[in-house]
Amino acid sequence: MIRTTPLKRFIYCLVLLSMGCTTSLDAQYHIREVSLPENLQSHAIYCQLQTSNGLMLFGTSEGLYQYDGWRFDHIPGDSVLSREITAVFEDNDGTIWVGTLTGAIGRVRSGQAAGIEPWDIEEGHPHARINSILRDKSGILWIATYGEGIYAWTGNRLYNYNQDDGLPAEEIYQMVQGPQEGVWVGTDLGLIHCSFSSNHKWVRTLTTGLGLPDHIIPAVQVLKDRVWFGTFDRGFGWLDATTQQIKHATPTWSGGSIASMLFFTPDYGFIGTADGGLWEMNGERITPVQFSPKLSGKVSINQLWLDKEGVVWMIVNEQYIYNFLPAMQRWEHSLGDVQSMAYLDLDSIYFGKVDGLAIGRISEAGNLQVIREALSGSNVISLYTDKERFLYAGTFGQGVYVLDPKFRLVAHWDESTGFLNGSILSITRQGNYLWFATLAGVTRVNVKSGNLKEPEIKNFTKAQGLPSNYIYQVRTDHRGRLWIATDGAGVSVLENDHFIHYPTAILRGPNGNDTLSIGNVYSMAEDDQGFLWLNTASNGIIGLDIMAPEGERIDKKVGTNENEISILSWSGAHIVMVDRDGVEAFHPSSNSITYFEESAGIKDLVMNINASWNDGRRGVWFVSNQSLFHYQETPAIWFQPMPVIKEIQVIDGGANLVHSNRFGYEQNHLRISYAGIWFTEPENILFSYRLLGSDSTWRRTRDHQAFFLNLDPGDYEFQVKASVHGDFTSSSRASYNFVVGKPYWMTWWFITLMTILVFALLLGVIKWREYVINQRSAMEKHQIEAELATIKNQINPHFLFNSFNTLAAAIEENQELAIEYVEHLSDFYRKILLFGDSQKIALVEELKIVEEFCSILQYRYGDQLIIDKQPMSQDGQIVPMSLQRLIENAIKHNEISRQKPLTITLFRKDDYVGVSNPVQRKWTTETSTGFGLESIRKQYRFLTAKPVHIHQFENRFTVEIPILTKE
Amino acid sequence: MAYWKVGILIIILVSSHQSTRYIISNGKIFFRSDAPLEIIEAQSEHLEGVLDISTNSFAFSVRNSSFEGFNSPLQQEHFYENYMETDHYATSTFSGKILDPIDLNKEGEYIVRAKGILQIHGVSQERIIKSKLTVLTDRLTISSQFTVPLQDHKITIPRIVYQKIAEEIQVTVEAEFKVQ
Repeated sequence: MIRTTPLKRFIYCLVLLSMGCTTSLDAQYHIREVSLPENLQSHAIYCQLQTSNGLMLFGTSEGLYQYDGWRFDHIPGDSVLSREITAVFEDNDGTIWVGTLTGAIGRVRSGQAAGIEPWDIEEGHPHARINSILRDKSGILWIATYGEGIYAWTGNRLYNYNQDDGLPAEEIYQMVQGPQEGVWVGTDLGLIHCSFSSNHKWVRTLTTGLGLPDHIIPAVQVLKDRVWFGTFDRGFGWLDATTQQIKHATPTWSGGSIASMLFFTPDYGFIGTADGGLWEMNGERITPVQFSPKLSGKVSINQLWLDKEGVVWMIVNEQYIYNFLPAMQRWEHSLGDVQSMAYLDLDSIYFGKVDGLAIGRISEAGNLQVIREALSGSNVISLYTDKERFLYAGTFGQGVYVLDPKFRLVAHWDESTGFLNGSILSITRQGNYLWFATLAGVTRVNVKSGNLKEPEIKNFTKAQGLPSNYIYQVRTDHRGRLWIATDGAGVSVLENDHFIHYPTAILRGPNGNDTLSIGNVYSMAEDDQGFLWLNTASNGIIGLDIMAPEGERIDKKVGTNENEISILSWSGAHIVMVDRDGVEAFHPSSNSITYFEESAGIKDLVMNINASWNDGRRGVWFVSNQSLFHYQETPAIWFQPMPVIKEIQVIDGGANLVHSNRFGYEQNHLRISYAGIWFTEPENILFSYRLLGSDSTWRRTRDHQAFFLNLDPGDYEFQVKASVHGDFTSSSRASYNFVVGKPYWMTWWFITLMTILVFALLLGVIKWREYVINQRSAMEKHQIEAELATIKNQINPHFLFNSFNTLAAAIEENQELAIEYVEHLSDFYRKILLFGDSQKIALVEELKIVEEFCSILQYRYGDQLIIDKQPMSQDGQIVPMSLQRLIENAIKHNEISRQKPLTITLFRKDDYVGVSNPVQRKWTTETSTGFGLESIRKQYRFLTAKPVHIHQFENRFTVEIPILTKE
Repeated sequence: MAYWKVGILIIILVSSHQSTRYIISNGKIFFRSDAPLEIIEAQSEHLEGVLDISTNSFAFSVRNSSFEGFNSPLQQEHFYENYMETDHYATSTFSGKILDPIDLNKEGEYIVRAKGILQIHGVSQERIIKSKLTVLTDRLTISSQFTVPLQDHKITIPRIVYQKIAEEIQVTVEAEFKVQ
């Protein structure tokens, strides 16, 4: 790492006189123009806002637009709210408020896709341009107009502040939230504080009479307790809200009217003017800012704001959007190869070169000027300066030259004055001692005595406990301890005259703590968390936990060994690493790195280890072969890209945007759009996403959308990470949970219902079958019973006895008749056998049986029994033997004698056939089983719904049985 | 306490510039309380007012005891004695300035907002009230609707009739102005 230039001839020369301003190069911020979509070009851009999720909103003459670093999206509104948006504000709950040129007010409610909705209140809306909307610390929503003063919305009522309320002017330029409750506004007639409390409007006006340098206040900003005001032609200043003191910061201001302000700290910020471009206040100095590439013509900075990652944005000439990284400032130089530098203040910047020393300054106009040269011919490889303004220049082989505040050479120290070695690689100060790192150990010089010619010198080598005699760097930590970076043996600290060695780093590994040999350490930087960061030759950047007691120490390691880090320094919470590709600001607490490379206008850096200086206050200076750089930490909240999920679309014919996370089973084609918010380097954004529930592997892409088609029903989580350099290990992620619903036939309730239904159906079928079988068996039983009864009846001994008596009589009297009788009898029994077991019989057949039966009876009863068979239609069916049984029944229960012959009538009435007889009760009743009628009735019940009618009316007994229709 | 102020204002307005001054020739004020158990409506035709276009200022006044049309005489009595306390507070007024410019040379309808002090029940509240202003050749008409929260004017409702009286009363004003 050490430049191995050959040892040059010793030249002892006095300081050369100043050569005057040799170069005048402008301070430059690398500016980037945001390319606007065609429909926004040459239209007015009025206002801006970065939302809490990082998206940039712009109010334009064409409506409200959202920008993610990659694309502009229009946020729709009604005919009024889709044009001329002049104010935009994000409320605590994420509601976006917008105001228009014509005074209309609308809002976009978070989580709703409806776009901008009008804000309708009973009081109506203003009719003047809305310049600002905000909510103060007491929760009141304030609306500033250009022409109607200010409105305050307390949650249920709108109040107006105008001239009648003591507001000196009704044209409000800018309004900001106060350090306490209420708002501060800038007007043509002063700086005004408005508040609302105890149901009362309060207005307090500050104007020139009260110390305000100018009564026209176009710009206001609040930073902590200070209310900064930008005036029309007297520059800017601030009011201390607690002490009420007004301070005019620019007694001699020539920048014209101020239009916008952006202060980060009380002495660091940017000031935008109405036609003189941008100015920077840094410390006590206020300088015009030069940009690369240059902004030409009249430059009006209408709006100025800082985003979450520390990028400064500007709306220029109400038409263009620019941004730049205020962290990185650059001045080109023509000094050639600079090996070392030191910085005291803006007027005293020292550069050590191969052939001498150059003294430069940053002018009032912001230019880098070289004002003197000295030590001509000396190879200056290390430089040191301190508050006493002495300059110590370490050379390669020629020892140390000491220059007084007027750049006169006051001493030269080398081997002859007691140094071990004349090659001075590094210089630092510890109290009264100056320490020098040399190629033969470290040398300590006591500068307290003031005798610089022959100071007290003490050397430390291996003999005094150093681990190596080859020392690259000496540094003091915040406790004043001296640290030594060695060649090959890590670092050592000098504490109580003893060297404590740190040859190894202790790193937390997967299996307990690992020990890593540190080796060569080129440079060191301490952060504000108590870590000493080491730039090692072969182990990358190691952070030593120097505040922890030995034994409890856990160190850190950053990055890879890809690029050799040439400069390591710190700025606030950042460790600054410079390599060939650019600057990396490592933020230890979030473990993230911000890169400043081509997007910041940096490339091909050729650097020397000592060509940097930490000014201990605001940042790190470093110098390459072409440029001087100043890295300064800006207030940032984000240190890495923030992924944001922008919209979800269901692709089903017409792709429709959704703000839901439940989808039907057929809405299973999704497009998810996302962005990575990183305006520092928007072109290098890389994404990594996955869909949990479908596939858990991360997919890398540069696309801003992911498609998921044919998703199965289930729960999903879409996760996306963003990174600029492809390292996603510490990236934050955005996620979106959603559910693809099951089709109804797969839902539990449907399945349950269906199961129940199937079971019920099955049960029904079983029950029905059971019923039918029971029915059938019951019927069969009855039929058998009836048949049995019939047979029983017919072979009733009484009947047979009577029949045989009749037969006997007939044989005696008339043999032919007897034969006929027997034939009838056998015919009758044959028919019983034939039809007895069938369910139904044709009425015709039954009547034949009845006829047969009657002729048998006729033999016995002769004319005492009259069967009156009325003519009838003989279609239809009946239960077999039913008529026969009814006739038999009639004979059984009634007296039949010569005196009382019995007439049994057989008739048909519609669908019924009936048997009727007069009641002639017997004196001796045969025992009745009651079976006959009951059996007929039961048999019919199985066959038809029509009942069997049995009735006795005026001494007539009638049974009517239904005729069954043929099937 | 402030009715006399409004009275003076009316007098001042009436006695100022001739051509720019309009007074109410026909004014009605109507209110409606839409409570869960009862709707109460009443109106007064005794709305007085003056509007001065040169200064954009106006004043309206109505006698509280001129409201009629209640559901019952008892309700009217309650309104007068318990709520409005007409013995103590005889009038309700609204006076102030119109925020939006009016062009009387052009006939047509304008939405204008009036900022002023609304005094009811002796309690003053600053209000912005939106009205529809119709400019005709020989007259102006104003029509506006606004709500009056009873709490704002310290009109307390006994708990027992809470469900019968709304917390916010809807008020409608219709007035015709003629050049004086």
